[in-house]
Amino acid sequence: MTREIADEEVVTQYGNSQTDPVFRTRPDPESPTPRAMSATVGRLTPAAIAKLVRGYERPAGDLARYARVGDLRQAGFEVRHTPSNRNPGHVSIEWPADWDDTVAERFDRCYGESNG
Amino acid sequence: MADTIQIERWHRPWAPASDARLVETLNYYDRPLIGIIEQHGVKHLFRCVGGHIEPHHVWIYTCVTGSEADALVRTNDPEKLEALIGEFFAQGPVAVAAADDADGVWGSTIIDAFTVEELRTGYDRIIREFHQYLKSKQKEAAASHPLSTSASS
Repeated sequence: MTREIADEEVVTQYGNSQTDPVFRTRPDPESPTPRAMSATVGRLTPAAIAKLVRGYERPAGDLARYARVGDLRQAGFEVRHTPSNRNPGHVSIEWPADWDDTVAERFDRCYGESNG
Repeated sequence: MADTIQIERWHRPWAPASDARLVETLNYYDRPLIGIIEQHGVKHLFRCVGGHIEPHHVWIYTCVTGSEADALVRTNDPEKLEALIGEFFAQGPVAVAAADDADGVWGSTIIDAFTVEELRTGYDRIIREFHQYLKSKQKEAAASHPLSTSASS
């Protein structure tokens, strides 16, 4: 069941210090959502977001970072609740056109420091 | 014997052949991570088992019946869904595919395993071959870069 996501809510993005980039800032153009990035609603620990995405915790390098939904919307992104069976809190952060470097930087600036 | 999925190189792992299509997504994070594919009227469960947010990833596939696929779609409890997925993969055979963001699926193999050791051997083989492919790809990229000679010597 989808619900409205309020501006005051926080979303968590999952990253890993051993990957390049540590946090993705643009969608895979070949994915079914070439204009949207994933996040999960709530302030989750790296272990909790890892469990939702991978199904298990990765021992080293897992990171999480957080953005306020109102900040993402103010920057021009649409934030929608798009749950899946495995991740009921999944949200899509969509840009209305193709993502270029400017959009990627704009997206990146909405997030704070990472928590590992 | 159950139908095994026919995987073609250079397709995305969630639609790994020209005649395969994604019909259900059970987990998604920047790309489909668990879902159901249909090919030639047969349903196949797939999941990413490594590299979920990384540029290189490993995927497994197994055939499921229509009623098994329905059960997966109806299960909203993450723990119960994990248990069901584990049960279906344990029935085998399992296809394993290695892929990267740039090229899609690089290679795959079928593991008709009856023991954990057989499963591990088949899995290790494709991972080892995939690493060799990635190394040769990096070498090619370095060779085509104008600064590669001084950087690598």
